[in-house]
Amino acid sequence: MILKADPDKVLRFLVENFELVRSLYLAQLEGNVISREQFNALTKHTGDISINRLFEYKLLSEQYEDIRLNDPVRAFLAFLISEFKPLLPSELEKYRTSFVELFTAVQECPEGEQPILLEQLQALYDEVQRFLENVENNTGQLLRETQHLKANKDKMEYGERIRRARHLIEYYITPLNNILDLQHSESIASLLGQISAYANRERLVHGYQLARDRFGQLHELLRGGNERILRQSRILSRELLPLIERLQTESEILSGWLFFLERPFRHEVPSFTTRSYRNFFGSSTGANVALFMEQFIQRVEAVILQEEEITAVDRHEVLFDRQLYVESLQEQLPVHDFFEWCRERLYQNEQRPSTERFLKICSIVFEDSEKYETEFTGRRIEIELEDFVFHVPEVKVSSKTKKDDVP
Amino acid sequence: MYPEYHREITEALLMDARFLVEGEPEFTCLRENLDFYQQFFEASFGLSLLCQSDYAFLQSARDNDTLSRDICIFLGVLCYEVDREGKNIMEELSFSTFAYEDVERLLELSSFREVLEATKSLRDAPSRRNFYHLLARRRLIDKIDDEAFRFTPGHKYFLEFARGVVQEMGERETGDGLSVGGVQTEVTDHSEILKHDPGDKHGVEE
Repeated sequence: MILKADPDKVLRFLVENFELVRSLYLAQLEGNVISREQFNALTKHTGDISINRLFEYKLLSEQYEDIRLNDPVRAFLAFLISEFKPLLPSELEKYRTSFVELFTAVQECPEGEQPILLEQLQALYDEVQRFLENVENNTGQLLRETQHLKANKDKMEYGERIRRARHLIEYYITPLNNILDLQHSESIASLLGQISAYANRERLVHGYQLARDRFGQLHELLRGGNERILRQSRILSRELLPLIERLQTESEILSGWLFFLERPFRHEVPSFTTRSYRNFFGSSTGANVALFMEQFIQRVEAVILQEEEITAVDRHEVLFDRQLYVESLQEQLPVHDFFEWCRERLYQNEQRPSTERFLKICSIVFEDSEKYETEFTGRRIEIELEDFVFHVPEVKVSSKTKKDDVP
Repeated sequence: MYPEYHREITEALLMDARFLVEGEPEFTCLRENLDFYQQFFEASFGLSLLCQSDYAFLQSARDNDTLSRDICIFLGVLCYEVDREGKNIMEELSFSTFAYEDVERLLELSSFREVLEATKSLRDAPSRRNFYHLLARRRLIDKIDDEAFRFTPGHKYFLEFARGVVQEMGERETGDGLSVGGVQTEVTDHSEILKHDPGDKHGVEE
């Protein structure tokens, strides 16, 4: 009992000196007790009055040379700071005994002993509550420690890390998993299941109203507790164990490399893949295939184009200008040797003199025969062109109109 | 008649001799037609196809592969150094990017330098540059840019090999101060071991 101050004053003191109290708590968590030297170091900047109050308010107590936080204060701070020492599973196992004893007492409570039954039910309720809280704190703390270990924030030596991981698995995680294993008939979780089933029945059939209420409360707590246990169990199996397993896998990999690197050139190595240079087609495949395919080739009808009488087509043909020759003839009439005149005109006017062109020039007289008068001398002359020689009569051409003019 | 990426799969596995890894459409196609491809490569080329959940490659029949050895030495030293820096090997190799510069620094200062120097493709920076190119061609690493790379899931094949070494050693030497399960590595002073075994370096091959 705190004699020297009211509870709210104590709380205020705690608030005002919270950092100090926290460091004291962490020191105790680390070493179980706070040694006198540690205490002096931590309170170096704290006034004497405050130091005295730590003891007067019964926050701290002295144990021989060492100092400890009083247990209710320690539990309160653990709750506030969420830093715990994980409980050894045997610390949790003690709940089994109290559950069994209280449960048996409740079951065997004689009729008419209601007051003690209510008290036992109350005690069982509190005990279950404490158990669940402890389990939750424990998994939470184990998870933090494992993650811490995984991240290796303390830069722990490799071997040390593995030892620590194994220690956690062996002494904390696996036993805790057993405690929470609902499938296992010996686990505390399944014991709580039995209690829950009993409470569920009694809350309906018990002859005493207050007891029915208490059984109802207990049943509610256990029903929720079942879910809480499941959640913790899931954390264990889904996060904690895999984390540790990964740590272990990693350690195996590293150990493997170290073994390998001891004799890197003589140790066997895993078979890897090699590039395949095999050619699907050889250099002569193409020729062989062609030869093979040849037999299937059917001779198709050949279309042969034969050139007969190659005549170059004159693309630059100039159109025959008949008018030019008609006018020229008109000017020069009478012409004594018409065909010779035609030949002369041809070579004079045409860029490409040709027989065809020559004949066209000749035709002007015969086409307009009413305009001209012709007179054959009876002699024949030769007109030589590029590729032809014409034997033509000597013809004298004169204008008809002229004759008409001279009657 | 053939799966969609048949040509790409065959070229990658057989002619490029590289990993197919998760994320590639070829890999998905290969997984979907796994039975076919196992038979195909076995019947056509006598090669066995190794296909895990996130990588696949064709195992060669050669049991003394220089490249495989070089990769083991490289990964072994790298893992050791990564762990020495207090990082998690598996996480680093799976998710981190590695700057060439950092890797070079780790290897240069490594206490396994002797081993590296005795390995042709790892003995100096220019050789290692070629080695990184080769790893990228085999798709063991993905180049991010000129500065950094990332391991593909293919690296897990070699990590599994290392695990296998431990289990094998454990089986062979149980009761000889070494326990099974990989938690027995008291062998940290590897430089000592190297000194005891100078003959190792003569084993360097092509």
